[in-house]
Amino acid sequence: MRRSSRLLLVVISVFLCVALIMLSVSGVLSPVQGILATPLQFLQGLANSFVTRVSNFAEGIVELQSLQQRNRELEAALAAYQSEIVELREIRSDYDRIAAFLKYTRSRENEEFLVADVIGRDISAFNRVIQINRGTRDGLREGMPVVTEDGLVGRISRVSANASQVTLITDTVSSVNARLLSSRAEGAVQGQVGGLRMTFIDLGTRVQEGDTVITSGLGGNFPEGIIIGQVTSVRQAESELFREAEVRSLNNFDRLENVMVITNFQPVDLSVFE
Amino acid sequence: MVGYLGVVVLAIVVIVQATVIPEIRIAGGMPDLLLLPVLAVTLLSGLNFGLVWAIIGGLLQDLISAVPLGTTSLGLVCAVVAVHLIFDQQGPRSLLIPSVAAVAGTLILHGVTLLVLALTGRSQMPGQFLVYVTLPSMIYNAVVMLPVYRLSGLFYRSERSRRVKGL
Repeated sequence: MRRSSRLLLVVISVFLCVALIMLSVSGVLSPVQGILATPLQFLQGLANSFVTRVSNFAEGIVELQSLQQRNRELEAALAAYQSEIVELREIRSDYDRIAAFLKYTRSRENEEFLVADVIGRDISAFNRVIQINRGTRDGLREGMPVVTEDGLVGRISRVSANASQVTLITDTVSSVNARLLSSRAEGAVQGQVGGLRMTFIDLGTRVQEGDTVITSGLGGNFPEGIIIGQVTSVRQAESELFREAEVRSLNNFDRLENVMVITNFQPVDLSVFE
Repeated sequence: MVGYLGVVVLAIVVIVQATVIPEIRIAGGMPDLLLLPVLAVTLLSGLNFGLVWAIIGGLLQDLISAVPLGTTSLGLVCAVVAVHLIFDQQGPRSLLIPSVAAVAGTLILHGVTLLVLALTGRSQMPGQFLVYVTLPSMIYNAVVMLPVYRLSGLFYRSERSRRVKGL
């Protein structure tokens, strides 16, 4: 190709480009540009979607190591926080119990209490006893009543220097002289395999579900007025001379953690009159 | 070398330029993927083919970019003419010529584009663009030009042998 034709081609090319620029800037070419750009933009969209996925995948691989490190750090932090939460919940639980104890003790100003932790439970299925971490060194003696803010728990049946065994009122050998709070009718709450039963209730006494059962103080084994539980059902066999009532304690004896021993109560030994 | 296949190649290059290349932008610059095959065609086939690739490729790129239609074409045409004038296709070629052509072409393409944008009121501070965009792009293009030129050479030779057989 001759030099002049090449020059002409270059001039035409440049002129064409400049003309296109001027027309484009003036907006004359906008409709044509829109139509021509449509297929390219469609392909661009598809390619962009693919590239974005590949890019995200590649970034994921690159960041995998740092993410793993970050994950380990977060797991360690989470474990620390979980441990702290458990500790704080324990503290809150202790606080709640102590606050309840305090409220209970203030309601019974004539009695002195010693708080004890439950350190063991009966390993035999036939006895309902617990062990507490207070003993003779703390001034405990056999026969002292044990309570919680929810009511009567039992009484100390064996004492060592540092620990004591408490026979629960749900033990089958346990019998507590009791009184219905509403009718003042008396009876005895005995431990049963499945819970508590109040017996020897006079036939003439009106007993209702929900009646509160408290200690009567008779017999000298427990102070008067400690809540034992609530009546859940009443029954009377035709041949029997007394009514019986099923009583449910507010204490969950399987989950006791702390109890209070009434230390200034002296059980009365009535055997001398027998 | 500017048949339907050439247009398809240019369209693919433009789409890759618009989607993949921005992902590897470093220090403000990125390879001008359209410039490199246009310059390679110019070095291999001469001015005429280079001009046609420049105009078609530039139009395709401008259709999906924000610059006025014809801007990239004008920049590529200027780059093609300059490269053709500086590196005539006659005689044995050094391995460095394509890379040097890419550096010169980048400078011209960016310069013309910034000039058009400045004249049409669509860009300010062209000096900063030259420093922070054009300089890194020149380095990219000098490096990427080597494989692009090699691929274009393979494509050019196969196309020419196909035409000779057709005759």
